[in-house]
Amino acid sequence: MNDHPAVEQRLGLVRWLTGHRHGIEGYLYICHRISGIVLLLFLSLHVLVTSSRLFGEETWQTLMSLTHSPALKFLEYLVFVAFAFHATNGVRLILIELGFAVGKAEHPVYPYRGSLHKQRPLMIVLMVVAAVLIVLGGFDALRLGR
Amino acid sequence: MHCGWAGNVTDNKIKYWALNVFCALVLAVLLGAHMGLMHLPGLLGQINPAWKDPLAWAHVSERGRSAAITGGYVLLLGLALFHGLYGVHTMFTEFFSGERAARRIAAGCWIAGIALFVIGAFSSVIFHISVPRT
Ligand code: HEM
Repeated sequence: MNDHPAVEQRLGLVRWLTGHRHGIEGYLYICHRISGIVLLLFLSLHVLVTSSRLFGEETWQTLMSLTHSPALKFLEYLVFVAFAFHATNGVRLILIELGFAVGKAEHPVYPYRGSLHKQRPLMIVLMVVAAVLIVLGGFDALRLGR
Repeated sequence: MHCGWAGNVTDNKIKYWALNVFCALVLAVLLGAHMGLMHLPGLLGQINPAWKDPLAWAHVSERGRSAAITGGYVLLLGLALFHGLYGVHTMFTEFFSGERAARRIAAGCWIAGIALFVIGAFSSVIFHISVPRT
């Protein structure tokens, strides 16, 4: 029963966490979801914190001085990491959804070449971009930060 | 192109999805600029010293005085909330099925989105109006 596609889809969390058997792209999918949730949670908090500028300079300075602690600096960096990954992987997903980098339709001649293999160079390029951004962000936070 | 972007977009689900992808594209540009300015001050400060300390009150007020930046913030907030909550909506509908659940999930997302949008947009606009202009 369980191998019926409709039933399998409802395995929910298990399918979520096992990379969908699609290899690295499956794990990118999980990371995309997690980073999206992180960004949304941060955005909610961010809206509330930045609203405090309405109460004037003193309140703002007090709140900002809290963010100088190493723990909060690290969390802030994690938000940047989530952004760098989510944005670059998101651009990859959009390009593929629009039909770019998926290759032309071919006759199914053995040995078959899956579409995922044609998409892989795009994935590698964009993950390198993500890694560069993440390193730059870390360098900024550690070396050049206030 | 193999998706229903341009022609025959009759289904509301496709419209919301297309809007979601459009939001993501604009976010990549707007949020990219915002994240760069706020999270890479050390690097960008080498290019323009004014970008060195974006969280200093003087710079916060300066941005608040600009109608374009205030408008940009409100736009960014709306796009990010729509896109983020669309994603959360997708995830919840994967876990909970049925008409009733779908209605509740959609209502919850709309309420959360509108509440956060009102708080964020209100504070940005009021700040823009009230920040000293000297
Ligand atoms: C920086 C620009 C961004 C880009 C390019 C981007 C791109 C994407 C894409 C392409 C998807 C998959 C949608 C689909 O294919 O149907 C997605 C999902 C998602 N995004 Fe973003 N996004 C961005 C920023 C954000 C922000 C700021 C948030 C939070 C407020 C966010 C939260 C989410 C969530 C929660 C999902 C759902 C994940 C899922 O359903 O698997 N994204 N994003």
